[in-house]
Amino acid sequence: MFNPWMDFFPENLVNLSFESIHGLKGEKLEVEGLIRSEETLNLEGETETLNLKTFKKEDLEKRVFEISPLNDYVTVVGVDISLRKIGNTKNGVVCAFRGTVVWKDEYAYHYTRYGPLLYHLTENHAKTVFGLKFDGGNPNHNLGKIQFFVEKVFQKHVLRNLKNSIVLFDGCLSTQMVNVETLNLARKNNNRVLAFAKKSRLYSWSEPLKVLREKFSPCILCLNDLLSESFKSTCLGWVFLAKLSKENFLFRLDVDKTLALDEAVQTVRRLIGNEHFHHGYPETLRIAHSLSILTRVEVIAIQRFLTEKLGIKILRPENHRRMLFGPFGGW
Amino acid sequence: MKLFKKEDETIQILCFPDEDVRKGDYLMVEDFRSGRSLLVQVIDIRFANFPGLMEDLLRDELTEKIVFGDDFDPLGLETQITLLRDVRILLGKIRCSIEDGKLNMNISWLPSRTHSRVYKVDALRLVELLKLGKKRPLKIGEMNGGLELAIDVDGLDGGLTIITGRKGTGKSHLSKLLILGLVEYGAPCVVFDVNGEYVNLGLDKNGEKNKYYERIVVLEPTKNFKITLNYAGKHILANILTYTLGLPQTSLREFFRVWDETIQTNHLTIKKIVERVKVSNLHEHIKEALLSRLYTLERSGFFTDEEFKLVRVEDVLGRVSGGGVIVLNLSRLPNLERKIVVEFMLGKLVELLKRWFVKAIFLFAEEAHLYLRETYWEDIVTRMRHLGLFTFFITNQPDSIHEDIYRQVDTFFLFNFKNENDLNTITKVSKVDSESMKSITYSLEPYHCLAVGQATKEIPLIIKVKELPVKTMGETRKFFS
Ligand SMILES: Nc1ncnc2c1ncn2[C@@H]1O[C@H](COP(=O)(O)OP(=O)(O)OP(=O)(O)O)[C@@H](O)[C@H]1O
Ligand SMILES: [Mg+2]
Repeated sequence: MFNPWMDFFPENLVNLSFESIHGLKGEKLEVEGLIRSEETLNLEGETETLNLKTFKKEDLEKRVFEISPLNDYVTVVGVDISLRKIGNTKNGVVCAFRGTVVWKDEYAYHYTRYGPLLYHLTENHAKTVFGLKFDGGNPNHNLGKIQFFVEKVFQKHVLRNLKNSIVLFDGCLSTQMVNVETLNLARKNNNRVLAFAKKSRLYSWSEPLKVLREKFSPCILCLNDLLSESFKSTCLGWVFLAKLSKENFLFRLDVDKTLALDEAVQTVRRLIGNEHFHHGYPETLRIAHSLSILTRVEVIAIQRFLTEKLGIKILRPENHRRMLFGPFGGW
Repeated sequence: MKLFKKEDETIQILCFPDEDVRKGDYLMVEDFRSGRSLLVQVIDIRFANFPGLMEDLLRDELTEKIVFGDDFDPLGLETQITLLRDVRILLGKIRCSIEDGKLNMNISWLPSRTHSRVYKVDALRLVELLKLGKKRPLKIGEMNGGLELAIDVDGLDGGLTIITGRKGTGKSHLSKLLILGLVEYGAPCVVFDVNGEYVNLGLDKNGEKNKYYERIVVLEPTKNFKITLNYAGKHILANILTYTLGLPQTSLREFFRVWDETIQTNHLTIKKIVERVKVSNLHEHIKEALLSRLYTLERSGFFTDEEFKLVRVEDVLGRVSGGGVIVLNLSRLPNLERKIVVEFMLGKLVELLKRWFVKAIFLFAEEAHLYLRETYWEDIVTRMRHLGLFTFFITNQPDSIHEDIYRQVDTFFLFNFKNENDLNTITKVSKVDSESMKSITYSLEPYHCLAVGQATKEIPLIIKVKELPVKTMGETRKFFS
């Protein structure tokens, strides 16, 4: 199964963390009102929006597959990361990364968690180390780029160490979020890659829900031939709308498109035969997500770490102090 | 540590879990701009509750039961995170202010948040600051951190002391320690010993005579301690008859008429008075009333008609006037007799103090509600105190002590209490705010007490009372063990 040893961890991620953090010594870090409970970067184009309203009921009905679970054992692995901005420096941004791999064997859920790792990213860094070009205007875009970058590195790391498993990512299988090489690597080791997009409730009011709601058993609805060309051009997966538990929660589910459609469906059936679903969402991914998330407390701990270990001075906008940090406003 | 909040005399301080602070410890809030400091006592320790913590704990709760795993944490941030979750808020009360190394009570100023430093004051520093135990030191135990603490015996002089706490927490033990300390400095002490647990103060642990042996006189009423009517005197006898035996005033007048007649013709004895009453022309009711009281006195065994058996209190007191203890063992006496003996003893001590036979007496009264008449409570804190009778009340039933006593108390030794009712009772002591008192008392360990009074410069201190070098015999009686 998954070999969790840290030796396998993408070394450049760890080294880069140490290096970039070291360079921070004595700097000033400006933190802002960014510490909400779960800061989603909410980037445009992060998850391609599916405009479900345009689909017609008749078209949808034809494409629904009712699926039954296949119970032959397979390991289910969930992968998620979280990236959070800690603050701005004179010429860059400090952010924290944490990634988690969760897997379910026949008995229990297990995890290996990496991080928090800290990065100080300047424009220079981004170019030389990550090969990323920073967008001068929008710091959020830059963060988004970093997030995709580390996410991809992390995915690759996980897949390098896996065999014969079903691997679940958070999000979708678009070129922006997954590298083609990663998918190739996965197949080579007989892994099946799927992605769940969390924003399920967006779909609640539209036609597809009605169609799927009529079904009692788990079912998936294949949307690929209904998608626009531009959408398809960046999409590396079979795109399904999936209802995988009795509750009427729908998720967008992508399955590696290099698999034949029936093989993709087969994979979904094995997934439901081997995984628990809570409100239609797989448990491994839920756990991976909640273990990765960097909470407010953790962000404060990281700030304290920076102050104590690296002598970094934290600057807070005066008026934000009390509001954000309560008792910690005095630091 | 960081100053977080101040409201009146309450201060809140943010404290990381790696700093070892306990309830009762002292902190210094030093404002280095103004050069002043506040001395703050920690009265409670709570988790800091800050935004986002709930979210964190919930995550743990949701995952930790079903998931097992490893963390690869090269920066070691996990320890920081754990630390932060255990950040505590220390709730403290300002006890005094310090300026130029001197204590004062001006605590109304506000230290700066950014320009102040908060740190723990270790026991040694505190003792030096308060200048404790400089004049007549009495080693009573140790402070948190193991420093031996001596209080000034002078602090117990001239006042009223209460020692209270739950059963078996070490009250009598402390009281013995104080007695021996007072004895060392030449003070005469009297103990009303309801459990007979002070009788061995003159023996060491192995039962051998110790250095106090000669200074301890154990009086066993009805055995080695008997008195005559004459020695008791009219006044004391009147009190015994009235308060202990409930004799009405009219009958009392008749009693003393008979008394006067008897004394003119005869040697004054209970028997003689009885004879006279019998043959007198008193009203039958009065006759009966007098006779029944006289029989009670006779039966008590405390009175003797034989002059040579009389033990004079002044003789005994003379033996301890240079430092010693009279232990009045009340443990074998029935209720009524106990009250008679105490009535007599208190009356006699007051008489002797009035005559300046001794300068002062330290009276240790265990469970005084068992034998002290109602009207004496007030007397003890007012009249008797002025005469030089300095009382220590020792009890595990704080509500048995009158409220006035709490208000007037000079020194207070408080052991553990758990019961809400008891906790409320002790807050009547005005020396310390009730919040401190309740919070600290509730979590005091056995043999630890909260002491406050002149002896501690009015600064409440938690003290672990030291062992006694003498045979204690104060254990609560048990069947098993
Ligand atoms: N500081 C101390 N060090 C060692 N032993 C102690 C200490 N204080 C009390 N003890 C022991 O604990 C037991 C109970 O103590 P003590 O009789 O003083 O309790 P108490 O509070 O007077 O109880 P009660 O309410 O029953 O009178 C005794 O055996 C005593 O020797
Ligand atoms: Mg006792």
